[in-house]
Amino acid sequence: MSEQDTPRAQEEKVIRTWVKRELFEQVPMSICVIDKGLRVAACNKNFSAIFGDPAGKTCYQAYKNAPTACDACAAHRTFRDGVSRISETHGVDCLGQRADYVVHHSPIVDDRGQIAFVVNMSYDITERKSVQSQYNFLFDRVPCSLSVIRRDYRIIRANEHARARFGEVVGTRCYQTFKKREAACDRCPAQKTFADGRIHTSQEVRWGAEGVCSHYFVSTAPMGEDGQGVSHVMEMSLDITQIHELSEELERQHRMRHEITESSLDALVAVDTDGQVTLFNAAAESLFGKKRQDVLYRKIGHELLPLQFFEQIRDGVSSVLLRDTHVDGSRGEKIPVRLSATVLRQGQKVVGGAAFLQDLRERKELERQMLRNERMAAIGHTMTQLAHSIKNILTGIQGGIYDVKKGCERDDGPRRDEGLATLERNFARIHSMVRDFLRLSKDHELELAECDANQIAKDVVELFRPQAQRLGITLLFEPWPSSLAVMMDADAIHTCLSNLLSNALEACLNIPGACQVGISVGWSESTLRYEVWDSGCGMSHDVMEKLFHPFFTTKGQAGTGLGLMMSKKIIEDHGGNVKVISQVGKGARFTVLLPMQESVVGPRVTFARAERRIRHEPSNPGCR
Amino acid sequence: MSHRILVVDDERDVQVFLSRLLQDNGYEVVTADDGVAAIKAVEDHHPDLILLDLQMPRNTGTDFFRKMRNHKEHGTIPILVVSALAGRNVAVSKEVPVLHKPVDEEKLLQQVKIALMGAQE
Repeated sequence: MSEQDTPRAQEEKVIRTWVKRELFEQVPMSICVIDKGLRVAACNKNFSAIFGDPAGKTCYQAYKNAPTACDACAAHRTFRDGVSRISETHGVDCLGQRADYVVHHSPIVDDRGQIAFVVNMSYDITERKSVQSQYNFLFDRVPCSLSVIRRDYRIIRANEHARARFGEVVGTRCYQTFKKREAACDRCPAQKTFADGRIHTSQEVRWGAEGVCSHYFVSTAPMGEDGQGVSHVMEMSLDITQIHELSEELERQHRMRHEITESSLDALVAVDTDGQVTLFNAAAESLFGKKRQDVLYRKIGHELLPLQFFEQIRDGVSSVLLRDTHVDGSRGEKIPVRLSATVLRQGQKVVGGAAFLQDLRERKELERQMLRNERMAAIGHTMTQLAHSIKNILTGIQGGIYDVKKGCERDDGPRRDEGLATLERNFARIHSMVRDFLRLSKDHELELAECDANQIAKDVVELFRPQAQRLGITLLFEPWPSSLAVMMDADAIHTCLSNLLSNALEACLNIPGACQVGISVGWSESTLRYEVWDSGCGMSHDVMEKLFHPFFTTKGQAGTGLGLMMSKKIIEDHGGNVKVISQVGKGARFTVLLPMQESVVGPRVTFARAERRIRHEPSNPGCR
Repeated sequence: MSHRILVVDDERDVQVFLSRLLQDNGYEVVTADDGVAAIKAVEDHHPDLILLDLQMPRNTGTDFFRKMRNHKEHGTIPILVVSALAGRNVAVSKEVPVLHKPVDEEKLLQQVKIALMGAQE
């Protein structure tokens, strides 16, 4: 080589010098040179920094702090066969820390072709091994199925979970194992990942090892690449059968709820606390005459539902029932509805309410029609019965006339008188029938005045005492021990009690043995009570049912068949009611209850509801 | 021998009138106030004809009619209905003549005669 080297030669010189002097020290590995006796002949700074000064030590002393050479000493083998080798081993550093290393052993051949030394180059792979083991642990133990799939869809690795689910899958093709297919699936996520190197997900149905079909959420991710693209795909599959079933159940329930809601004959309207409509079913559309798209999620609940509903929802009343309310129809008409509602809550918080509205228009119309029919039937029945009674009376009159005529023809005075008596009797019957009818008429008004409840009953008893004595019937009277001054129509109550007592005496006719009838006056809980009882023949259930029907009588021509009906009306006009208990052969007891406005304090008591039947006279305060 | 007629009516004045009308025309009369008493009267007095009211408190005329038609001994006794009811309420049976209250005396006596003659045949 000349003094003036070429630039190229100069560059090579620089590189050689750098390799000789610097590379040995700067390479990020621990390097030591070992002679045939395995003694460390040289080492770089990295080596001495980790393992300490190796002067005078063998490689196993320096490297492993071991007293003897390793069993399968790689350096020794390289000395023997001159082959470079790579192996994994462990070492112990100067602080006694154990670490894993990858070690290269290369021979150094001298000029004679002999292997003079072996170079030992090692680098620490402890961290990498730890990550690897963590990865393996995770791969195996993660609670879902993991498998690594090669480009030809062969499964080359599978975790414990996958093996437990799908059996020994490694070596099989994924579509055969998971899908029981002969060819790859169309557009499966693994295929997509192989194609574009991205992550893909899908829901798949797969067959388990036990032949059970399950639903899986599948996700694929690229794992490695070669010259042709993605070489492996990691596939994760999570069993979502339960979630899937739950979701199907939820869907089914939702559908069912929807069908129930839609097929309900009742209109269903749900609102939140701001009045925003959240539910409006088909029946609601037809009731309100509005389309749901014009109503849903609009704050018009207050225009649809009664204020009372919102007040009760606001107060958190859990269930609301408005039997007789109304809503506005599309033409502003009032539609009668029965509203039942329930408060909607989330936890403790009231979030709205749902109202069921039953359209009462048809029912109301039916009720009106029924009432009309009933009224017509009642009128028809009354007219028939009235005609019947009048015809009987007319026949009685006919009999009277017949007797008068025959008496005159035959000059038979007694028969003529008898005929006149018959005429008088039947005249009186028509008279009392007309009187009863007038009293039953709607316009008949009570004439309230202060009177003594005991005295009215006493008058009635005295009126019937001669008749009772004649019939041999004991007549008892039990007045209330103190005076009961009340506001009522004394005449009407007298008529009513007379009817009841007359019936009681009638019930004792033709009864063997001693009979008793009685009237008692009582007072409790602001209610005046008259009881009229007898120990007579009693009544069957049939008779009791018809007792207050017009023209029902068991007395033949002795009664108009209007007495009890009239008595009931008088009692009801006073705001009271009448009850009867009886059994055939065991007498009867009629109880008349007349509620008062206030309890008896002193002499004055007025009836609670009597006032609605009387004409209001401001100048007559006693009538209030 | 005169014919015996049973008058069944709960109206006392009607009962007396019909009885006297029939007695004045030569018939013997027995009376009953209701359906139950009428059955007893039929069995006690064996009437040749029954004048029957329909609306009575115990055992209506219709009930009595049904019982009479099923009666072993007296099932064939002719019956005339004398009622204050009108229209279909009195349609007891097609064969039974109905007379309406107040009664036409001549017509009643004529129907009685016809019924008794029919019974004799």
